[in-house]
Amino acid sequence: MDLVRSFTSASFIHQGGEACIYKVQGESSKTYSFKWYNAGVSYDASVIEKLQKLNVPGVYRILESGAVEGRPYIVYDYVDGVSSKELSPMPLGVALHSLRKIVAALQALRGAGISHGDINPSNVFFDRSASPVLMDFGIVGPGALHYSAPERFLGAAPSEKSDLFSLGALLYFWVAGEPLLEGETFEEIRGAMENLGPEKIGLYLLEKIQAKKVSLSPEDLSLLEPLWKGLLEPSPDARLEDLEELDELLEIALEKHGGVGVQLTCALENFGQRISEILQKNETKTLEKADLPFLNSGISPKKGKKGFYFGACLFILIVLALVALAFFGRSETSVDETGALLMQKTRDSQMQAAPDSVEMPNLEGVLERLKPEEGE
Amino acid sequence: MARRSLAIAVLLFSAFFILACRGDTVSRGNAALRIGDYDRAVVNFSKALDENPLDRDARYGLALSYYAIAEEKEKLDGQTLPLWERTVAEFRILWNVDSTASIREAYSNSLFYLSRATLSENSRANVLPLLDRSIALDSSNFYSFNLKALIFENLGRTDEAKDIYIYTITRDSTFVSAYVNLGNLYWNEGDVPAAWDIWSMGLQRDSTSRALRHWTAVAEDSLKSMIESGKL
Repeated sequence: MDLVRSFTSASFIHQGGEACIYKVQGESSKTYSFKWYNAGVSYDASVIEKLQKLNVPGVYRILESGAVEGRPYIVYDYVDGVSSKELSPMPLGVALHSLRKIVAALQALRGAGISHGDINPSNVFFDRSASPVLMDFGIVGPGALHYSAPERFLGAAPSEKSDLFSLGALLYFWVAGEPLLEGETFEEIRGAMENLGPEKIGLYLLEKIQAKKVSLSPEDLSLLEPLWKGLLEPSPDARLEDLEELDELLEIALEKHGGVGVQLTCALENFGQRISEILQKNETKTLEKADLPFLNSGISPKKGKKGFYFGACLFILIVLALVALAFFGRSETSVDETGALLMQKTRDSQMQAAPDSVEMPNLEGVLERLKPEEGE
Repeated sequence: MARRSLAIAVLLFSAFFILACRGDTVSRGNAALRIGDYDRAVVNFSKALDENPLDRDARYGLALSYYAIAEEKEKLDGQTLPLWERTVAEFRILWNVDSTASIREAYSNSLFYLSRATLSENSRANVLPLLDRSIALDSSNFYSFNLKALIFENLGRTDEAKDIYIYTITRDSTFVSAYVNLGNLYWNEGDVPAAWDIWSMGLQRDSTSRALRHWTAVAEDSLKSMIESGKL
């Protein structure tokens, strides 16, 4: 509850079906995002709790979660960036490179047993350095209609395989600027999906090339084909094995596209420039102030003579306190600083120890580990 | 009104005076801790706690003093289990007073050391809950991850061990022990190419590691003889 109680001001950013999102200021003017779920809606606590303990590059950092005024909430670092929805279509090199970063982030989370379950363009932000940040974990429902894997609508929990499907749909949106499948209901989407094959996706893109809506070359279409084939399969078993395999395919596609060296650097710089321009434009817009009921309004000074006495008394007390501390105060360093020094010493001794002893000293004998004999 | 204000001022001044005196004991403990006079640090922090068991700084100082004593003994290869038990006990109490991020790293490290010392005394002890708690407190304590994986490996839960090593390498590509141990695991399974992959990958990250240099060379020799004998 600490962080949420320290908010001093809030501005309204977005209202979605499940929650409202606010940009909030905490103590020392630090800015956070505050996602406050609507009554009766919640998040998957097991995912959010795990995520709260992690700090994975490319994934938003959740700082606090809980409930306030009877409604669940999440506080996370404010991402000064632009939703990928606003940035699509984007250059193919940028899309492939950015998707690799998302894949790396998801791979890091797999170790903690976390899948996203709702990867879609609105949940990927690009910060000022053009790096993608994946947000909105812990969804309870099936996820966004145009991006979620079919099995998610049949009740399956988020998994690596379902994320693979969503990553395919996301990549398509990034390069095409619109969702792959049209439809307002799951049935309509499923119907459209049954007639879908990698060639057909290529044809969709070709139409867009001809209509000059996207700038892809025919070679680009063929290098994307294995990705559509591996990702956008209705059956989970027919999709790629795992995120690692996807990363390999993306690496190959990026190399074929020729976007690994200077070309990619230039494309990313231009893309970053585009993001900065949008952010600059957004800065001129004033966000609507939100009056959250638990905002910490601070101590309101009392008016009148009573207030004057109170203020004077407080001033005297502060002066007395300072005098007392000056005479009897603690030494210049705090216990916390000593603790930090000790921990640094621990880290240094672990780092400086001979590499062999960085492994578990004293443990080999205990666990009777089978290690190949030297010179074997 | 003025009389009332004066009374409040006197009361608060007394409170500040008491706090300042308490601060004096704590700062003496802190100064002792900083120069390595751990026994004196324990005495001073304990004195402050006798006056107020809820004193967060005194409790943290006491926990850190035990930590420093235990860690020093670790270097001398002495028996450290009782010291780590005492350290963790102090951190456990501190956690009831202050559960903020500032103490997490030290508490997590203490739990790791306690797990290791417990295993040194009794190799069959179940220290997994201690390690889980350590990881929950500090998710970048890769020493706890590593020890957990070694235990899994020893219990025959090799897939879980592999997952943890891979996760560790993904999170911190400079953590040499995970490369060494994951390579060992593959080697023990007879998967020499995978062992070589991992050891050499680790060696690229840290070319100063004697262990990685040695085992990469061993795996290379094995691979060569496997190719020569037509096994690969």
